[in-house]
Amino acid sequence: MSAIVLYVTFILLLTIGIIALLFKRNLIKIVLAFNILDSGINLFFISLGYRENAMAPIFTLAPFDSVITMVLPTPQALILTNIVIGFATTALMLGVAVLTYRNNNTLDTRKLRGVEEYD
Amino acid sequence: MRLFSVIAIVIIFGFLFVGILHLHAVGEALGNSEVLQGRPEHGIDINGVSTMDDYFLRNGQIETKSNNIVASVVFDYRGFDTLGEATVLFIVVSSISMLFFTFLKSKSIVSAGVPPAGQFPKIESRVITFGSFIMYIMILSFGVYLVVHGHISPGGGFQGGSVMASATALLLISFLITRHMQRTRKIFSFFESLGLTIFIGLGFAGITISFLYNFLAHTSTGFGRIIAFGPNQGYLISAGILPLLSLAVGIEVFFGLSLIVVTLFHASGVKDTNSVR
Amino acid sequence: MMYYFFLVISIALVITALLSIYFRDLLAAIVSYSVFSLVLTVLYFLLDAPDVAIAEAGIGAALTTCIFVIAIRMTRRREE
Repeated sequence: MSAIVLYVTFILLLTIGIIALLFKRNLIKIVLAFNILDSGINLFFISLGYRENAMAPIFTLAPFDSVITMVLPTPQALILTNIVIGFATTALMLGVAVLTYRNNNTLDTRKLRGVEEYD
Repeated sequence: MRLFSVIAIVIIFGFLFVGILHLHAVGEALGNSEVLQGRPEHGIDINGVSTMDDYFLRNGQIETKSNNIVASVVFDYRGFDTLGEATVLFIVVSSISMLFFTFLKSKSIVSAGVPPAGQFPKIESRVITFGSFIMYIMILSFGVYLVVHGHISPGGGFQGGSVMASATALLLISFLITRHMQRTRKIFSFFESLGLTIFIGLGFAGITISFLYNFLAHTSTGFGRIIAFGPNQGYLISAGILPLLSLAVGIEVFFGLSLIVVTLFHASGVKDTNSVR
Repeated sequence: MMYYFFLVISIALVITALLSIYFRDLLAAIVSYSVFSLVLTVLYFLLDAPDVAIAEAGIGAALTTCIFVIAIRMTRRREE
């Protein structure tokens, strides 16, 4: 039985992230939705490289069997850098949101659009 | 209108799900998955077909002489991606400093009648100040352990750097360095640039063959110690240029992420008198 | 046996992500996002990726929560 529940979780996280990104009006909630999207993508990459009954790709003090199987190391290397870049992007978005609040005294995207009838 | 959008999104993700059903099952990644024990006697490619990751798993210890295959992929086989990531981090940190630049200049703050460090409350409790200081030292030493042992056990520059930056966050939320914000930002900015410069300098050290060439892995003793294929106990002086690159990235990530948190925290204490309130 | 672990942890992931979007008090949403990040760290460990688990624990659970709390301190705490 394959653990397809990991792929289904990825699709659910993507759906939650995109629907919240489009339909929520508070800027901080939009940044939270970006982070959920990012975490979903990272989870998908790591679950692509998983092998059953294998161990982490580190040789120090590994069990001394006749046959060793290991998990793929390249997706882990790529996702490491992606996590740090995701945090930096979040920090930049929050900086812009804070400056927007200081200039307009609101965080609601409908009011920020400048349309007069949403009060 | 909203219902139509939600139904459209759900249909699109239904298509994505049907596409995902055609991927390999979770747990059976492609390739020749057995990393045999007696590999040097059998030759390089056992059944003739192998993917890139199996090549890394079989030859990572022989070529880069490190026990942690993920660290050797990050710093040796895929060193350019790490250089790009360090550059992106540097650019983002400087962008955040630029966003809050007008708030945090000393002259504009003092002229508004606010003390230069901003207005922060003062913590009177001895438990919080002393306990935070002790925990700061412990978390910092754990982070340094992760950075230094990056080529032996799980760890490396990015992981250790982010753990050390969370120690700075602890120091900030217990209001221990509220008087030294400007000086802290200047010192952190200098060391972050120093970390990226050391990384690029180490890349140019082996320029006679290529950029970011692992030239220390081909000397016969010290950093180029020959490691037999298979499990071993882990040697601290090994893996060529990898511990030095890991140290440079750890310095840069620590000071860069700390600078982000310190800048935002400093800006939160400044009451801007020109804003629309 | 491992698949039951994956099933339980995936359900916990989806529930905390939904809760993080649903709350109106932004501090509760941030705490829920921090729990999401913690459960994701456990899932990375079960998928035999200890390097990624350390990075996600340090950055997702500690630093991102700190930055969000500073941001809502500078703006409003309740939505709208």
